[in-house]
Amino acid sequence: MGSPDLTLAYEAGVELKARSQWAYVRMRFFRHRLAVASLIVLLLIALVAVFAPQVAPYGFDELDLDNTTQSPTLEGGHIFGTDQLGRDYLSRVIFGIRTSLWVAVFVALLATAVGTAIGAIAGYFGGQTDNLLMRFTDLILTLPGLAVLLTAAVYFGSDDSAVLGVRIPQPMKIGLILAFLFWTAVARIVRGLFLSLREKEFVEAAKAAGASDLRIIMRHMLPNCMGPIIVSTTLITATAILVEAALSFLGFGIQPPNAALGKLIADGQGEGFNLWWLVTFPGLVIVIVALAINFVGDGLRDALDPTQRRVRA
Amino acid sequence: MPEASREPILEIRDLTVEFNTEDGVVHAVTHVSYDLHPGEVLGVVGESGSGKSVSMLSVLGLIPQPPGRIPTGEAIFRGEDLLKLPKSRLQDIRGGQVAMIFQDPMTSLNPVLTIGDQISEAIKVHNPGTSDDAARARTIELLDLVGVPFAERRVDQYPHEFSGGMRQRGMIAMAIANNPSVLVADEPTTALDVTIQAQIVEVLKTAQRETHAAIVLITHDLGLIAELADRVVVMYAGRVVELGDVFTIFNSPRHPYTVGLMNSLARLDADQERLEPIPGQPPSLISPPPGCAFHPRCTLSQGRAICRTDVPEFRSFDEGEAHSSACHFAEELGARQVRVGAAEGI
Repeated sequence: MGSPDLTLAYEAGVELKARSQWAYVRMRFFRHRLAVASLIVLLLIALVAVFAPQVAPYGFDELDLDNTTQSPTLEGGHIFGTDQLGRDYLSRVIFGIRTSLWVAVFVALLATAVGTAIGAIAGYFGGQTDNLLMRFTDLILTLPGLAVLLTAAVYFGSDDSAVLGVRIPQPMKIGLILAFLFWTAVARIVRGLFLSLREKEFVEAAKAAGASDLRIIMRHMLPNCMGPIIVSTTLITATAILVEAALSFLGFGIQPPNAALGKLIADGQGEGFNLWWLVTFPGLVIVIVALAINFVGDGLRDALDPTQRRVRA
Repeated sequence: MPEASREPILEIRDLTVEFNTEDGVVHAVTHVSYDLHPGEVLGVVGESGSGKSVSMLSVLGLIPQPPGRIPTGEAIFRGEDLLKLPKSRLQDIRGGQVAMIFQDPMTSLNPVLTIGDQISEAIKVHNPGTSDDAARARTIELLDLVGVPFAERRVDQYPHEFSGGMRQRGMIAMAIANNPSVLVADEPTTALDVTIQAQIVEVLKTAQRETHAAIVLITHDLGLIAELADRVVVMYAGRVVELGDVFTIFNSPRHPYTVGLMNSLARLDADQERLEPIPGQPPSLISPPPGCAFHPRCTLSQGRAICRTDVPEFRSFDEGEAHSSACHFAEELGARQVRVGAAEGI
């Protein structure tokens, strides 16, 4: 029953370009210049972090006692200067980014996975299941964040010692503590989306086609939630960087010898304005990374929202 | 069309479905019984809220419980009562031997998956060993069958790249993917415009030729019934009020509601000044009128007491029980012509 017009169109070589949802998402994202620029900055920083041992001019704990507290200079080897022990500050910042980013990404992925699972189950099954899971979520939300963080960090996250017989690196412990507090936002978002998706006819159609609950959740409902999930993951990453920095600044986060951005600021702050670079550079990096992630999240939110037809300048 | 005389493939017996709402219990379906014979097209007609969709959805376990409840009834499909089957067994049957076509193809397809993905999924769920290539080949074959042009290309397109008619073809392809023996079409043409409706009717005919499935055609479009159905079930306020083969129902209806439906139909072959609507509103299903639920709107009842007090028995008018109606005064309608009856103010 091929309509003749369409046949003609195809035969004349008029290619109706089929764009998938993701092609539209890409298109919209790349129109958001600030987001694209931020993404490039982020990727560069991430690359530097991943290849820290190759990129950094010195080891992060390499001492140069002849050149302590050298101010930043383009001559010689220490662009970001050196600290009180003569350690090259650029290298320390690079390794700091490595630790901080690693923790932030770990927190974001773990919090998203846990939050999505809990939100999806609560939203899909509803009733008592929903009630139980959401009251638990509320409980976590009512915990005073900073107090829990500090307590947990002191009692459980201060070294590499084994927990329940499993040896966990100390930065990962900080990540676990943060993820424990951060998954609730994702759970609530996903539950809300599932509550509305559950009533959609295509879900009923999938049920009528014999699809199991798991298949409906994984294949029909989750892909429809990807936009908000991806956005909240990015935003969690940014928050995690800031909170981890704050925690490390207070001395409860990442412990030496690991370098973390917050820890670097904490170590440098005693010197005040004399050794200004000790505080400025890691602080600047934190600001840039957090800002860039937020811009990317902003761009993604616009790009993933199919109702957003406005073209960004 | 095959004769509807063999063993029924689906027997619905005494089915009652209720919904608990804040305003009270909605009696959506009340003591409904009908049979579906292999290979036939059974039209289920009635206005919105008459329980025609709910009766089939509840048979397939697709109404949410709670708030839904099925206090009585059975639905025997191949010796098994669908209402008592465990969930996993019901999942096997849904989309396999009993498939469903939904009303609105705009919302019944998942926007983030390609048409091909969704049809292949239906195939793979019921045939776990199928390879991706085999499923894809079968999907293209199905799309071709239901008249989607350039099936090899369109299989990779998303629902938003399909028109309404094409999507409904896709839905039909998905429904017949596993050669079902029962196909439930829930208002398959309601969301489409008239020219597309005609095409979809053809596709449904093709689908039936191909699968030999018995079709339950749920609709309020009497034209569609006349076009496709072998037998007709007329529902009103959650009850079956008349059942018979399509010619009998159209030529000599034995229930005043059916007569009303016929008279409210625009016809090309009659010189009509205006259509005859059925007076009044459909009753509340929370507190349906006592006796015959149709009596407040009925022109035949003429205030007779029995209509207000007794629920009419569902009676048969011939030996084979091929034509039955639930009206106390069905005989008064007799074999009178519908039009003539209307003119006389029935």
